[in-house]
Amino acid sequence: MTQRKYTKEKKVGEGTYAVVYLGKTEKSRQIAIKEIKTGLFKDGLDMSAIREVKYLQELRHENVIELIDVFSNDGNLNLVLEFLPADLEVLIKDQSIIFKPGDIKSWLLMTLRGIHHCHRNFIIHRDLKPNNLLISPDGYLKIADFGLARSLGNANEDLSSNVVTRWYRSPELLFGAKHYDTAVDIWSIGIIFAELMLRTPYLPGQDDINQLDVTFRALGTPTEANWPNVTALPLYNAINVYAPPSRQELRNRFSAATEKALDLLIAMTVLDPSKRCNSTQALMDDFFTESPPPTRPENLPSKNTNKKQKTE
Amino acid sequence: MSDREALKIFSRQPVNNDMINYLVSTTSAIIQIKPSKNQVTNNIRPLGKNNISLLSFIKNLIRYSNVQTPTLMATLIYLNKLRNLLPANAIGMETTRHRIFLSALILSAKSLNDSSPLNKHWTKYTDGLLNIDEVNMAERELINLLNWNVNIYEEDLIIALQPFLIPIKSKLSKKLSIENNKKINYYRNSVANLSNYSLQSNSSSTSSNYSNLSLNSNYIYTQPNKRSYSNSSISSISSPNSLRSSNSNNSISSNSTNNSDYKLPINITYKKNLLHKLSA
Repeated sequence: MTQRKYTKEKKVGEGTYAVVYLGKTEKSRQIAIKEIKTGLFKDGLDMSAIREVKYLQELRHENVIELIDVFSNDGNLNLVLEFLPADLEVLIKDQSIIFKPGDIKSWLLMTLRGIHHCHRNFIIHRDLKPNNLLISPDGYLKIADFGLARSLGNANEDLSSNVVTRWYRSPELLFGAKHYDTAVDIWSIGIIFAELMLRTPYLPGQDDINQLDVTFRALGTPTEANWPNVTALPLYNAINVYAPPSRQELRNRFSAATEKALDLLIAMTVLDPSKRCNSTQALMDDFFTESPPPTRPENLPSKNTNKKQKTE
Repeated sequence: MSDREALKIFSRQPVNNDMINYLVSTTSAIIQIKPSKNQVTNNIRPLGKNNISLLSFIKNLIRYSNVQTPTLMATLIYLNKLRNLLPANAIGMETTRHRIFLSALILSAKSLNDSSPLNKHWTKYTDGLLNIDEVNMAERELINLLNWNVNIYEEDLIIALQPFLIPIKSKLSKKLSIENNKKINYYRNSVANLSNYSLQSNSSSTSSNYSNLSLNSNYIYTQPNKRSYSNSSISSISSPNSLRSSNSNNSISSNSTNNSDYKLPINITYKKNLLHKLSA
């Protein structure tokens, strides 16, 4: 019944759990239809599908992907989403595109605005990475993929620490913390911020153990002195103790960053989650008011404009 | 004492019989059940020997799954929503209520917790009453009826749980007023001492100030006791039969003609009716 309102025109991607089609609504608005193969799940509805629908229905924001509709046919669940042709990972990897400081600032700002909206609604995203930051045709960045999201509820409740793609996983998650909060998202955004400046992943661990080593080599090993009670976390180990990086080391690492950019990066990647800045503090940071101003979304680099420039 | 605080306290309580009974009556109020004798045309396998009451069914689910109060009682939101969606003359078969409750519990567990039993586990928890396909079907049926709207809002919880919150609130406000009386007495005494002490000098002004203060606080703290919450939500839930009366025959006959994607485990005509409602 509902399906007639939408057309599926082209298959654009297929994963183990969903197929994505491009299509149009009745009013010929471009959309993406994410068809989740619930038929394959002999064990009832997939939890992440329920979560994704639940949170996207609740959240409406310029920097969060819009869920237009949900319908099911042939035992499959279909999410009708707004059409977002690119993602930040593609742009970062495309070395032919040059990022200006204002561009990086603009993407970071839009990410923070989107996550601030999630956090003020007590929702943790738990899977922020460039691949999940989609870009609309007019340049707006939108947070997508709420399959791992959850709401911050009862403080007594245990949370799963096996969340967030490894490279963007915060130290408390690496240590297997069962109680954590929105600070895990801020960490991820900090690492994405670094990646935007470096144009290569900042902390690319090969496995969970190696991730600890890579993280602390770059940012110092947490100790009771800078993170009280860290040693009580389930997976805490400090086999290799690295000193925290000096300001000069960070300056060398991020040669293009201004002092204010470094300040914000440091604030978002504080090891102790209780001392890490929150989304409000990050948004109020001086970095966003110093020159250059954030680039307007429509002027941000994108795959298409770049190709055009090449052919010109 | 605010509803929010009472809700917080409630969510920390262990599951008790009052909660289970309330769930049973809420679930029973959703739909009428037709006795099995008349279910000749029914194409879903008959119940047979596994005739288990809704009460013991729910008790078993709680025992096997070790579900905690917040997840368990959140099902009330889905149950109430479903009750509003179904027409008053909806009629189910013997296990319909069991299926409704189980699917509400599955949705609640999956949408609230990081890890939840899988449907194959839930199937086991039914002690053979339902098979995996029936459990899956019930789950999908419910989420479709809810239009995938599985969000639970605090306001709704406060309304749905009011019968449990009222005693908590009155207990708390009693405690508060006792404490407060103590404080007032303490101040009164100290004021009395003070005014005795400084009677000779400018006693009148100070003592009047103090008595004003105690009067005010007395007023504030006795307020909660006077507040009476409307019982409408409770009474309407517990007296469903008055609402669901006539027109029972037509729903059964259409059971067999139901050719939707999935066969309805919640076996009734509401789909049709729902469509009418929507188009109207």
